[in-house]
Amino acid sequence: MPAEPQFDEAIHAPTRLRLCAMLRPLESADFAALAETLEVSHANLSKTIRNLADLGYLTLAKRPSLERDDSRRVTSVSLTPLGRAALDGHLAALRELARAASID
Amino acid sequence: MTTTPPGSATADDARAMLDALATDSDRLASRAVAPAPWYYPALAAAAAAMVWAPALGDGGGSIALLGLAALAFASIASAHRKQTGVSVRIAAAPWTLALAVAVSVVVGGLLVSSFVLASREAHGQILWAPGVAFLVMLVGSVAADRLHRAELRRAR
Repeated sequence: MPAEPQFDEAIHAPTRLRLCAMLRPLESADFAALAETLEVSHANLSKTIRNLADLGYLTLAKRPSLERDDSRRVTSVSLTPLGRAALDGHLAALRELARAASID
Repeated sequence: MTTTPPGSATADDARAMLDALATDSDRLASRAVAPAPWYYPALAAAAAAMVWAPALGDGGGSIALLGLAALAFASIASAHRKQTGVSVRIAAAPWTLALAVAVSVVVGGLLVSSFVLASREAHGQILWAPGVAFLVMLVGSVAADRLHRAELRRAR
């Protein structure tokens, strides 16, 4: 069922929206993969993830890395059901806005 | 949260953002390619080895080859996950899953037929089955990868 258009200012900022949309079809994604695919700095991505996690839109998990010699762990990020619903509503609102303007 | 866009969001903004998301989907789909040229042949070889294992007879060699081939299969698939850094939801790629299940059913059927032939001491007749398993897995995994990329491009 299509989502109800619901403009959500919390994810309207480009990096936030792109991050949520990137995670939409995924179970999870590694931090480095997200930074590389979205072409954003680690600092920017880290801040964006923290903000969205505070809103309950994302969850973080850390796991040991078999590829690394040091003790650093790999961070993976997932969209929560709340984040998915917010994204779907926001995308529906954007599509509606774009469509309405093209009809006018 | 508001149900209507604030005045600052224009139709041009909306279109630009939707276009940017489409570009991101393409990038994500491109990321889901096989990790190396050896990936598909290696998967196919592991499947063929599994199906060939019963031809080795009742000894431990048959079980050892089956175990090694299954381990190789899991390691190769895991290499893909590490390479891409992403794990796709099943709901986002239903046709890819359907194709993967179909390929698994065919390879599983070939494995069963190998066991049946081995139980009838017809070890020589088992040899065709690994060849078929290799071809099915090779073609099936290449097709699944292309389907997967197409589904990821559409998923947004």
